[in-house]
Amino acid sequence: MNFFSLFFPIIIYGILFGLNYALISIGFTLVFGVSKILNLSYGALYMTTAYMIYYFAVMNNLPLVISIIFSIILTIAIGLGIFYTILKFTINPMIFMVTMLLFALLLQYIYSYLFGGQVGLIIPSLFSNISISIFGVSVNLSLLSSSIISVFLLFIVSFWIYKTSFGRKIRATAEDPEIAELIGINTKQIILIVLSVSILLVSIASILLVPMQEVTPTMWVDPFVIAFAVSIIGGLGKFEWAIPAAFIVSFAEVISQYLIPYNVSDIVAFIIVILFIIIFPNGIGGAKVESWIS
Amino acid sequence: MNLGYLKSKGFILSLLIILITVILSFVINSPYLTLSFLISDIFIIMAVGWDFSSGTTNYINFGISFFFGIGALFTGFFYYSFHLTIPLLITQAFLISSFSGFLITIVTLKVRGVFFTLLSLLLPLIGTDFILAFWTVLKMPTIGYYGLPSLSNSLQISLIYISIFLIVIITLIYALYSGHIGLILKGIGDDEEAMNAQGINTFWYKVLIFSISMGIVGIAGSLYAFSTSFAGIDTFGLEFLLFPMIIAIFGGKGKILGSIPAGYIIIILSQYLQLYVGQLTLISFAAFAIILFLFFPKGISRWFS
Repeated sequence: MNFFSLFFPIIIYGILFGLNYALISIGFTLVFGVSKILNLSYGALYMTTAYMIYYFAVMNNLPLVISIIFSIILTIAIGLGIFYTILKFTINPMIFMVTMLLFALLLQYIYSYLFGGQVGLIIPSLFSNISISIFGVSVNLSLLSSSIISVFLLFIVSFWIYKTSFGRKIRATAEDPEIAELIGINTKQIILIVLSVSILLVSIASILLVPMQEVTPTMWVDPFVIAFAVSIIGGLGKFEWAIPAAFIVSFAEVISQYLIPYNVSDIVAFIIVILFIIIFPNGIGGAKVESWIS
Repeated sequence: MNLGYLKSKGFILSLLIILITVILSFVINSPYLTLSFLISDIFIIMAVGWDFSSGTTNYINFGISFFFGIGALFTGFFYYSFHLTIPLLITQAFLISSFSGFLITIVTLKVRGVFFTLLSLLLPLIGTDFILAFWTVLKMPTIGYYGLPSLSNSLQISLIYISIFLIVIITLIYALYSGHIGLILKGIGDDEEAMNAQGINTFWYKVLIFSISMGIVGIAGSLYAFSTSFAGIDTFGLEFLLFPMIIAIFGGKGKILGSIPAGYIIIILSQYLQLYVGQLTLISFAAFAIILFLFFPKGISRWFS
């Protein structure tokens, strides 16, 4: 194995995974940007969509498109339900965060109880599972299709944030919620809409990516670790830097997969986060983090 | 050294409760009850170990199940690879968990508040991958280690040993609380900036406290491995964060006295629920933890005070 035999696989998989990681993470950083709350149930919502599709499409034989629509609606309802239930009782960020994590665990145990925890389940894909060759590298058509859809969705989200008047309100809320409130922006409404969009995006990521893996009650961990790593590397709340940060994570993981013959992708993400905290605590986007770095 | 804590109401009551569990295990002579007490003691060790660092400093560390797993797994590793005796195995669990805690906190303590908590949470989440990769490199059984020795052939004698461990750890924590470190801990929890302004370098105190704390959690992991005769990747599971956290919070932040009755109530309840409703136990405890966090964050300690 030499450098050139690895060059194309690393570039192609780095780009494809990077696009998907950006799709997984953008909602997480958006919500943090406007609400300063880290949505720890984020990964669990990714898992919820997958289990809902299994329930509707596999267990009840509903058409896949109908199952997807039902799953997205239910995931958004569950995600908003969790967020606003906690908000009703507390605004303490620590209690908020821990309770969100507990909801993620609760969902894990519920799915494990309802669907069985030992065997991974398979859900149908919108795309064919065949592989095609790009520069001599075998690429699964589902992965390629999900990456193309990710580009499209990332473009729409960027347009929404940077080119529309509502996007300007989102950026104002992220910059300074108090000033935004003073100039007449309904920040509560902004948070509700951004939260709904973030859940929609993570649901779509689940629909695109989960058919390439198995549905298990602990599957929420990987998307959560990726989203967290991307948000730290990009700079907390700096959603415009989520895309380059996603590529840093994906390339590091793909390179490690070719060099180390074990599944160490989560460890690589964790190590990059640690390195960034030591060397670039503000992330590549230069987040204002004086309050959390000692 | 100030030994006044040995006469404090909280300390004496803690010892009394532990003693009652040992007496009950002999009087009732039910293996299931004795095992429940034994598991409770292990979770209480975890809870007080966690509370010692996180409850007082306000640096909430979610990484405890990682150090619990390290304590358990390395007990299996050293038992099968080097045939160490039980006291040495428990000592290595403390040392390896403390050292891992030291290495990790030296980096993660650079961040504060929710970000420290989040970073610590990643530890158990990546723990399984970490151990699988590390163990494969060492050519060790990734499934875990079966057939570990028990502390004693009699379950009741094992309970006595573990109760002694619990008492020693509580005494150690009380001693630390009532000395110089206790003052620093309270200072960090109240106003860390003010401590730094007085010229006290809180960073190294935090590293020391977290290293000791994670070492205690590692001991709990090792004792758990002896009690269940198994040390595997399961010990990295978030259940081993959920239960100590419920115990410590139900018992009251920074209150050892509260953790002891809370530990026995919660673990015995969970053991018996497991017997009758199986997997619904975890669902009910996660739901219970949510209610606890939203309605009773101060825990039951205020009922004792």
